[in-house]
Amino acid sequence: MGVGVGGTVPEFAYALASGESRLLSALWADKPAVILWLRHFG
Amino acid sequence: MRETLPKFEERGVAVGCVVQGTAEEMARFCGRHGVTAVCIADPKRESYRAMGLERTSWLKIAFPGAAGRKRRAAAKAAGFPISLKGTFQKHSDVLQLPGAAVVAKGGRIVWLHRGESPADIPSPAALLTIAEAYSSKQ
Repeated sequence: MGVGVGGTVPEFAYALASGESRLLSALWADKPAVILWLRHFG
Repeated sequence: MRETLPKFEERGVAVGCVVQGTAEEMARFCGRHGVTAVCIADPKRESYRAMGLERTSWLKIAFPGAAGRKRRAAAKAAGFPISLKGTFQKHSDVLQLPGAAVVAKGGRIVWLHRGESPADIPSPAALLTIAEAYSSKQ
């Protein structure tokens, strides 16, 4: 079912186009965040 | 979303758009729309699964319903028509459903939406309102 309200978004490391990687949690380290999970590039 | 991004920034809310695809595919697509800074590539859809976002059926893709047709028309009118090439990229699952979350500073999920159809995702304006409401409570 996945994580729900009150839980924490699971950590996820993602690659930048530059080749570096970043943690998803960096988004909300110092401010609230809106995260969208989009379907595809179409 | 691109037009609404400055409003999120003004209100101190970060934005992340997770997309299916590699970092290169993401850079190409998001760069074209000027939103590379907020795009996050998830070619294995790990975060989609972790958030419990489900897959739809081919039937719902073929017959999107009134809301789906309305959203497709709005996207087309805004200059973002459906792209078959974009839809069927190697790392893209056509049946993947969308989702959205508002996350408080520190990581707690305060609002979550799991799409029940391909077009079922809140508008940027609605997300801004939701994020503002939760931010003011903190």
